[in-house]
Parts: sequence; structure tokens; C-alpha cells
Amino acid sequence: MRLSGKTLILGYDAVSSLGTDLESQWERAVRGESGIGPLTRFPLSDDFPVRVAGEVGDVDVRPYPFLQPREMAHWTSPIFKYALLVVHRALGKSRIDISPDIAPRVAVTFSSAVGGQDAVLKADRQMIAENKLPTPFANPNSCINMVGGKVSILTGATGPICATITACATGVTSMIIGDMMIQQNLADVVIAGAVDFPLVEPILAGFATMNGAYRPKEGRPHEAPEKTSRPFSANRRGFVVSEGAGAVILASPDFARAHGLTARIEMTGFGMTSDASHFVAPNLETVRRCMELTIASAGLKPADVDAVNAHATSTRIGDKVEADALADIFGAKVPPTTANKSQLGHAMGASSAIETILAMEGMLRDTVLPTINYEPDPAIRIDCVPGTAREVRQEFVLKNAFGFGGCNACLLLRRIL
Amino acid sequence: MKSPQNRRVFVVGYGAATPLGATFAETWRRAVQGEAGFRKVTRCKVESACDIVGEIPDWSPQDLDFTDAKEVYNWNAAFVILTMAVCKEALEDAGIVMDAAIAPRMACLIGSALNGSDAFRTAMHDLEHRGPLRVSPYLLPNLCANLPSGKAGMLLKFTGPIFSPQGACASGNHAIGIGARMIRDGDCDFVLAGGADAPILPELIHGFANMNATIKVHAGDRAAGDPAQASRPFSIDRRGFVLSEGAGVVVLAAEEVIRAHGLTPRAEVLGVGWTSDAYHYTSPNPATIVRAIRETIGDAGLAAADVHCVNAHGTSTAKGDRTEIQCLREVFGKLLEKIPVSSNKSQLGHTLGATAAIEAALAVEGMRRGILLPTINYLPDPEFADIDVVPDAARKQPHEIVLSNAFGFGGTNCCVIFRGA
Repeated sequence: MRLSGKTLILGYDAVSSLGTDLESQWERAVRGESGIGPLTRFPLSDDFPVRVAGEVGDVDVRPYPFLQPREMAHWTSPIFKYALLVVHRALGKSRIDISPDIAPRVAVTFSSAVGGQDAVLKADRQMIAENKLPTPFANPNSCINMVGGKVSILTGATGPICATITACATGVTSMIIGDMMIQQNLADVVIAGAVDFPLVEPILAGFATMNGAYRPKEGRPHEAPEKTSRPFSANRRGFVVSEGAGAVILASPDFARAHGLTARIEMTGFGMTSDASHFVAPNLETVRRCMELTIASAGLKPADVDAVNAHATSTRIGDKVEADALADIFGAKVPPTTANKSQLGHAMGASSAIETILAMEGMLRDTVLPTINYEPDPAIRIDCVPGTAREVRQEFVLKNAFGFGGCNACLLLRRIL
Repeated sequence: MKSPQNRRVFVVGYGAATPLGATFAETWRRAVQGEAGFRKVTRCKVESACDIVGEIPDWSPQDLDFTDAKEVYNWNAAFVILTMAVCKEALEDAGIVMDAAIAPRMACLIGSALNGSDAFRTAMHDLEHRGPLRVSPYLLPNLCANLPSGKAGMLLKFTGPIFSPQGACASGNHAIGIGARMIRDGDCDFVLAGGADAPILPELIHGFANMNATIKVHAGDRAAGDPAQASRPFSIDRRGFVLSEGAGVVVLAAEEVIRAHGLTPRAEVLGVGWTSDAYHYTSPNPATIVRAIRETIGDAGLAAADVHCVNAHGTSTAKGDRTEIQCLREVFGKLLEKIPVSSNKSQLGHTLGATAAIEAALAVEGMRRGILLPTINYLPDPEFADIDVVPDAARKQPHEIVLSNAFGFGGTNCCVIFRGA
């Protein structure tokens, strides 16, 4: 194996609407299944506009002492439980032992886009409805950086810590800033990734009233939940909000060598731009420039990219702009481009962490996951790997992530051959 | 990734909106006079002993030259328009005129601790009382931590990287630290780095009160008749911080673009040090704080003896202030007796994610003018008899190297050293 000085990926783990262990999520994804079902997190009134969601199943916490009810009693938002779970398992897979020697060199960029708004909601409810004061844990539960703080407490990591938030691109941004920290010699190891459990009433209602979230056509019967997320399709009608968490362990090549750890994937390039155009609608020029910067920063040409893991949320304008940017860059030869959100829904800041993990798993297994529920849109001419997974050898994969507020973040991953 | 270019990074301008004033100039003017910006809460109705807060005086977002009633109604998370206004002020202060060459090379990193909690509260009200279809379509954008940077970009037309670096009450220094590194390495040429928070809400006031974090002003307390005395870092009777709203942004730039654009460097970002505690969700951890300060001094290529003064985190809690002084003693030893340590929070209260950026701007301005801002409301604590807190009145004293400390809930420590240019 040749190390080129790039930041290495030593381990990762995720939970998503497809499952709570990585292997079963992968198996279901390869089979072309959907994780979307009815929304059950709270009782739905007849007029509640959102009816479907990607919910994460419960996990058996008995094997994890740090997740016992006693430990978690004050940390009521599920973001904490699932964040600690995926970080713990990802670190286990990386085989890194955070001993006191290396703890000061372990950074945390793991964060969340929405954070523990459910805890705020509970505090709000109690104040408004019952005139009860919030608990001393209400504010810490809602500090977004507290997720990283809990990760640091769990793992003993005492290097730099920062939640680097870019809405729906947060997962990829956490990896980019982590990569920078390693390249700048601020840290040897970074715990990156993101968690989001945004299925609370005001958030879903807000996504509906802004016409972001999927809603069935007026006067039409409800569609089967598993058919509702359909990126790049002619009949796409908005994203399906999901829960999820993904953790990725980054390390410097020197650290890996010194500890006898081998990596199979490295971060070979990244790019970030902002739109300066609209608060939610994407902007073709800056989205395209973000991908171009990413490919150039890896020292590559577009033709070197073997596959694209798209942001593609299943909105009318978002998918179109992303496809147009890909067409601008790659011309007639856009590589196979998959939209994992067709299967997972949109787990907000966690989505790009989970999707990066699926992309890496696909690189190692020579597989590109499918875009399910696909119905061709004449305005979008790309090969989105419709319906079924495909065998593709991949050395270089481009991962896109774009967030509200016009922040764009892309990664280039390389399989170490 | 490109290799580091090791470019030097300077502060070339700043803006702020604080309990002392809606602009940096007004904040500075009142700070030098030793004033405090506290009053009984007016932003909301709340029954709490923690009702002395820091509110930006005369803050009326609808009167800004880039807003209208509709814009203010839609962007009801106050940190959005606050950020836009302060970024605009900072760019103007730096004398930067946006053009096609600058725009893609300017990043914007604005942190926050509590983000759009105010918009969430409004949405919650609408959901409970008016039904789900009346929840604002702008709720989610208002809740996105990165949205203030995004809206600033729409107003000011830059298209470089944006994200919200969140480290609770250290967010402002996180922004400066990461921003300076991005410039050093060539990822961008300019960074608007700062923080914004608008936490004067009933839930948050009660939440901090129940954590025993903010001061409860009961009858007989010296702030009961005079709200200006509520925040008293390092004083014997310090009893918690004063919750404040505010925003601060510093403009960072690479050495060569300063020359190319005829800008004026005010201070160099000389060193950054960051650590996390892995300890407790709110209690500070001395070992990792000491390491953060030492790493900052080391990163600056200095020795402890080179530091001229400390802009303290000093929130006015019994334990936090004690820990900070103990850590400074450990780093500086006997030298500390000669190093002024003052806390701007005695005048501004605690603006959470904004505080470190506001304090950075005040520290740099202090170097330019040779003025040390005071720790006001000071009643000596024998425990700190060896410490010069610059009590009560600003002091004329030339200085060139400032250490600015910031620590946050969740166990995040980030310190920055500035050198006067």
C-alpha cells in the first residue's frame, strides 16, 4: 500500500431508516429496499401535513454501559444515544484505542444540523401548557455542540472540538474540517460525522409549509410510503424527512503507520462554496464550482471520477440544479450517479455522513447502490443507476452535499488499491 | 489538498452589536467610559430572579437600510439579521469593496450557541394555537445555524466557504481560529469570523437560572437597585453571569491581499490553541484549559513572558472565574502579577456564541489605542489578591500581545493570541 500523505478513513458506522447495524443497512440498500414508512413519532392530527418519514428502529442498549437509562436520563434527545452508539462502534472498527497518550491529539467535529430541538419543544410545552419551568438540562440538551461534548466525554478525546454546521451538508463539512485539522497538524485522529433526529412537530410542519417536504398531490389518494422519495424522477414531490447518524474516523498516515493500522480509503480532495443567491433554492454556478474545486484539489480531471454519490433530495429544483451542474462538468459522460435518499429519505445533517459511508462501502464492494422509485424526467439526463444496484469498479468517488442557506460541500474519496 | 502556504493573517476590521451599543464604535465608546449595558428584561415577559439581562439598546432591525417589514417578519430568528448587520458594518469598517475577484475568496464563519431558539418558540406557539399549516415556511431556514452566514452572503455578495463553527460560548474564537488557518493555507483570502446569539427568551432565562449559571438578583443584592452591577467577574460577591444578546465579527485577511487592496492591518492572529475537556458537560477542566493556553502561546512562537495582557473569559461565576485564574497561574507563574487580566463581560454580560468575537474586536482596538479596558463592579476577592484585573476604570497602557480566552459548555476551550500591527 502506498500512502500519499492524504487523510485516511480508518472506520465508520451508521444508523438509518434502513437499519441499526451497518451490514443489514447495506444488504437492504443493495436489494433496492426503502426505509420510509408511516410517521409514528407523535400522534398525527387530521390536518397534519406530513404523514411519512424514515424512522430509525430502537437498539438494544444492554451491551453498551454508557447508554444505560441511568446514564442517559438527562440527555432526553435521541441524538445523544445514537451519536454515542455510532461513534463507539466506528472507533471499535478503526481499532484505535484512545489512550491518555493520544487523547490530546484526537479532535471531534461530530455534530448535528438540527440538534436536540425535541428537548426545547418539551421545555416549551411544559412552560406554555403546564406553566412548569424547564429542567437544568434543557439548555445543554439544545446546545448543538453538546453532541460533540458528549462524544469527547465518552471517548476521552481532548483535542480541538468544534461543531461545523452547514445544515444538510453538515456530515461532509465535519469530514472536511477534520481533514484540515489533520493536514494542519492540529490532530492525528478526528471523530467526524453527524446525527439528526428531526421528527418533531414544528420542524415537520415547517418543512411542509415551505414546500420542502413530500406531500401527496391534492385530491389524490395517499401513496405507499416507500414510494414517496424519488430523486431525479419526473414525479418527485419533495424530500422525506428521516432520522439517522453516521460516524467516520479520520487519521493521518503517520498515525496509522505508527499504530500499525491500515486504511482502504483516503480523502483525496474537497471543496466548499456558498451561493449568495437564495436562502433555500440552490445556485448552479456555485454548486458547479464546488464540484470543480473538489476534483481539482485532488489533482484529477472529471474523467477520473468513477461514480457520484449525489445530494439529490427529491425536490423539483434541487435535483435539477445538481444534474445540470454534473452535466456541465462531465459533459456527455456523467459517471453513474446514485441518490441514496431514494432509499433513506433525508436525515438532514446526518444524511451526507451516512451516504458517504454507503459510498465507501460500495467502493470496497465494487457496487453502486441504486436510485429507487425512478421514473425518467426528460429534463434530467443522467444515469442514476435506476432500480437495482450495479457492479462498478471505483477508485474515485465524488460525494456531494448542499445545505439551506446556500452552503455547498463536496468530497473526493479514493480507494487505496 | 493544497499544501499550507504559511501566509500571515491579520485583523483588518470589525463590527459588533452589544448591550453597550448597536455598533462597534458605540460599544467601544461606552466601554472606555467604564459603563455597563444591563437592564431589566424587556424582550419578553418572565417571572424570574434572573431578570437582569444585556439587551442591545435601540436595536430595531426594521430600520436597517437593507431590511423591510416583510424581511424582519420572515427572519424571526434574531441572529439572522443581527449577523447581516454586523458583517456589513465589519466590511465597511475594513474598507473592503466587494468585487468579482474578492467574492469567491471570502469565507464567512459565524458561530452561535443557541441559534434560532426564538424562531422555534414562535413556531411552537403557532403549532399549538393555530395548527400545523400555520407554522412559518421560514422556520427551518431560521433554525439552520449556517443561515446567518448565508444571508450575509446574499446581502454582501461573497461566495466562498460558509459554515457555522459551534463551540457554545467559545464559538467566536472557533471562527477566528479556523478562519485564520483557512487563510494561512490558501483556502480563501478573507474571512468574516464571529458569532451571534439572541437568547433573551423565557425558556432560556429559566433554563440558565435552574442550572445556577446566571445571577439571581434578590433584594439586598447590590444589583437590585442598580442593574449595572449585576456582572462582576473576579469579585468576592460574583454569583453567575448576566445573559446578553449580541453579535461580533472580525474581518481576517491574508498579508498579500491587504497590500493589494490597500487595507490597514490592525493586529496579527499569531496563535490559536484548542482543546476539549472530556470531563463534564458544564464544569471546566483545568488540565485541558491549561493545555489550550499553552498551545496558543506555543503556536504563536512565544514564551509565557511575552504575553502583555489577558482578555479573560471571566463570566462572573464563582467556579469558572476561579478555575480560569488557577489555570493562568499555572501557565504564567509569578509573571501573572505583572499581567493585567480583565473581563469585558463585566460590561457586556455573556453574549454566549458572540462573546469571543466581540472581545477579540475590543482587544484589538485596545492595542491600537493603547488602552486596557476595565473589569468594572470590582469588589476585591482575597483569593485573587495577586491579580491585576484593571479594576473599574480603563487604563492607558501600550501593549502589543493579547491572549484572549474562551471556554464553552460541552467542554470546549479555544484561545487566540493577537499581536498589534
